[in-house]
Amino acid sequence: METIDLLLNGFSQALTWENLLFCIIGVSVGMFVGVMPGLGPVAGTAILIPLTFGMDPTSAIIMLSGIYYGAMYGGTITSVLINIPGEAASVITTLDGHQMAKQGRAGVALGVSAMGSFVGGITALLGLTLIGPPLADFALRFGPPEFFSLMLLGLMMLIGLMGKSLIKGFIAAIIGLLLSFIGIDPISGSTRFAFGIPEFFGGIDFVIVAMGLFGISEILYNADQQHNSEKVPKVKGLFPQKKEWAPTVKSIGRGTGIGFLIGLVPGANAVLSSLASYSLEKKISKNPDKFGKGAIEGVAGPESANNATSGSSLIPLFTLGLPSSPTVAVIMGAFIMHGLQPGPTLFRENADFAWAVIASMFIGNFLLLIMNLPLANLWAKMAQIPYKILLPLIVIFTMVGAYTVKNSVFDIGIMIVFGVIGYLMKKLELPIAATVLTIVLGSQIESSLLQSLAISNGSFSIFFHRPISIVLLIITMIILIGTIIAGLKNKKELLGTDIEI
Amino acid sequence: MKNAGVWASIVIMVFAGIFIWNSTKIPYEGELGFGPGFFPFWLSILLFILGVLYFIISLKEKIILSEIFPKGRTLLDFGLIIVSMSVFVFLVEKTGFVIAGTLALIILLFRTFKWVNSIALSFGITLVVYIIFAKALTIPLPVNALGW
Repeated sequence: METIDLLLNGFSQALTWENLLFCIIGVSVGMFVGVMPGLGPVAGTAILIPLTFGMDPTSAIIMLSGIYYGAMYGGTITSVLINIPGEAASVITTLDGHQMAKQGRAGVALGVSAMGSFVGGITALLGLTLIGPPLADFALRFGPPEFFSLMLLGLMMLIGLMGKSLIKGFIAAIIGLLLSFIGIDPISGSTRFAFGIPEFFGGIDFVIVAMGLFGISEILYNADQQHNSEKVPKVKGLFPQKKEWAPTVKSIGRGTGIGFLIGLVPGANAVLSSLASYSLEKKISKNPDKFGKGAIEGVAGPESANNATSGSSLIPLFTLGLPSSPTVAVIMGAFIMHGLQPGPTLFRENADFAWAVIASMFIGNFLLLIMNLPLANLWAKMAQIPYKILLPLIVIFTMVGAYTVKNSVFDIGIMIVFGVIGYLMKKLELPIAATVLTIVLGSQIESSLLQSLAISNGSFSIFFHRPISIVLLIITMIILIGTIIAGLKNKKELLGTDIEI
Repeated sequence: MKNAGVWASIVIMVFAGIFIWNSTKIPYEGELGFGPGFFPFWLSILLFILGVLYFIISLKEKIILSEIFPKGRTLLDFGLIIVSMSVFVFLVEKTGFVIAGTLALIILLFRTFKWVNSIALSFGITLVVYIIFAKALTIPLPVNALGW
């Protein structure tokens, strides 16, 4: 009952005109980012963080979260109508969704996607509402050793699942950690790795690095991408035929379940969940040959799965302070920037904020359902704006954004440098997400390690003497060994690097 | 030496080396145990070792250097984006936001539109962005002696 009261209180805050406005802006930008090929949720949130500086933290996170889950809805429209996935999680939808559009059933494909996305998103939010507080209460038992082990586990999952090489994953993660140490050490007060550059004394801002690694590198990567401009088919008739309802509902249910579970695992993002859902649907189908030729299950399952994942991936963030995907890492950076610490104490110390954001996501999903269907043609036309027109807007907006972080031109230069580094990392298959994640978590990882060692008078045995810590470390070891074995057997070909971008 | 992985691993080893060298200058021990130099020191050592391993695997799994860097038209697009942003960075504090922004956008647009159109479009976009940020959101963007 207490949870329902808190959620209702959250709704009363989320429905203030200001928060509602930012929710609408967030989901609209998310839809835009989702439909635009070459702009994904990570780049979108990273580029727009500076805009939230002067905002109330609740409104800021409501808007940034809206971009995140809104993009999942948007990506579907272009996948179905013009065969261009606006963001990576919708790639799989092109297989059957666009085939349906070619058969004159674009409306049904979009209708089923929207329903699936809504069910997936809302179910994940119910999960966050119900599982969040008890999990956060459990995590309150964690001391520095448990947190260190937990962050190690999160990093291991991310490195293990993202990228094809464990060595490259570790390299990317350690580079991020080392970069997070630049500036004044908050514990001892001594300056580290500033190399005599005064601008480095305050550290390299996470937002600048994220904007460079995700935003600028994406701009550079898309520099020569030419997108075709297929004619947008008419959208009519949003509901499936009577005989299709049962398989559609079952696919949505399965997709939601898979997506929800996958979202809880750091590193396993929405792309993986839509892929897993598609494989499952094809596997259990009585007629697998119809997949790729306009099977409704091939749209309903993956679309429910990717939205469920984007919702449930917020559970580790809200309860444990652990971001499970690049976009969530960017959102976590925004939390910290606004003086909020995601993790077990969030539901206690910032309960109003937490519940307002959760409530806003219920509202946002509902808004997206409304925006998605009647306006599908308009969104698809937007995706046909030539990239060369969009590019100058993105470039100038990004530079202004970087400048506003600290009113520093030096920061724009740093962002450009990280943009080039990000471009090279992509080409060399070094997972950018691992670098960004460790930049965000760097100071927490170090402080929890040093605090643990201070408690134990410098003995590392503290990590093996506490039950929760040792369990987490054992799981970390199992994943490490599993990843090495999978790498040796070359079983990780399906998992691309930084696939959420 | 056309193997991009080898070059990348060397850069990583140098990066690690710089951090190892610098972490030796920071106190390894503090008042309550390990100090601010402890974690960075061991992490940079680990990074160096991983750099060596990366070097070894790169000898087997080659990524050709020319495949990493863009060529032809892509190189031009790539270069123009970098030049455009760099021009903005170097000029903005001297000329103010509007002029630097316009010049940066002209560099991006002149191949797509006629000169007059690209100048007009660049100026228009920059001015709108300036009004939104500097006037509506009251963010202090860099300005010239004339106040824009």
